[in-house]
Amino acid sequence: MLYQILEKLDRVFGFKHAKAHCDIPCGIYDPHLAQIAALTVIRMIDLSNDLIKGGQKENLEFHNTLTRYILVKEEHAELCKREVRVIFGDFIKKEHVDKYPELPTLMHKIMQLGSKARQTTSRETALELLGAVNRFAEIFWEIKGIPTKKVKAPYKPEEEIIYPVL
Amino acid sequence: MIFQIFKVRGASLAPQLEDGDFVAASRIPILFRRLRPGDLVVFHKPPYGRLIKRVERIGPGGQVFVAGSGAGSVDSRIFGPLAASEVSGIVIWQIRRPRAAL
Repeated sequence: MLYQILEKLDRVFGFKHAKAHCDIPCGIYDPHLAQIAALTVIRMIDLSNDLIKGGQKENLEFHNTLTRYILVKEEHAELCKREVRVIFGDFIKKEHVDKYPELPTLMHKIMQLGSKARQTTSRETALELLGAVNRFAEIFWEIKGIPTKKVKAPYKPEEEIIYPVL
Repeated sequence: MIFQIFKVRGASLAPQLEDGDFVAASRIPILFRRLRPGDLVVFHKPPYGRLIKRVERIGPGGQVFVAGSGAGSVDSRIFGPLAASEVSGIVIWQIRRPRAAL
């Protein structure tokens, strides 16, 4: 109640800021990048499978395209791990782990699935990675007190992701 | 001024203060008592600007060591202790954004 009044006053008058910043003034955390990265891994596996099942001959062009898909899969699996690591390391506090005891196990699972997504071309693994990252996102937004919804990504591979309802 | 309201930016004092919370800070308590560990203080520190941190300990000669809650916080570990005179206010009131119970 009082907060809402201050928030309105702030919009009108703009209170001065006092920074409680970390390494660099930032405070910007969002699991969305990790989710996009996990979706990209799935998409690259799909594209690779399409290419192999397609009629194209195994010429240089074929190998070039396949290599590019694999490269992007590698990069995004690693990016996914990195984004989750930053949130886990910098944003998540002991209180959050006490409240969500599954967090360390979930974090470890994402690290392992991220590596497995690089080592293999298993769509199941990539889906599992997305599932774990979605759960991580769900907890993240819950900690922030922001509700979430599960929706199909409006682009291929059209898998479900957790979005904050802002 | 009796007190001044600030909006907290950043999360280095989480979970006590989160990004977007408001605080009222005042100089008046400092006129009557020494700073002590646990006080939330507002101060100006170039090149970082106006910061809010927690007093961690008071060193010899009244040096004020401040820290955030997290390991990544920019505080006395980086810019050293403050002189008590650099502290422009103590937080006397916290108005937190309504949030899900932790």
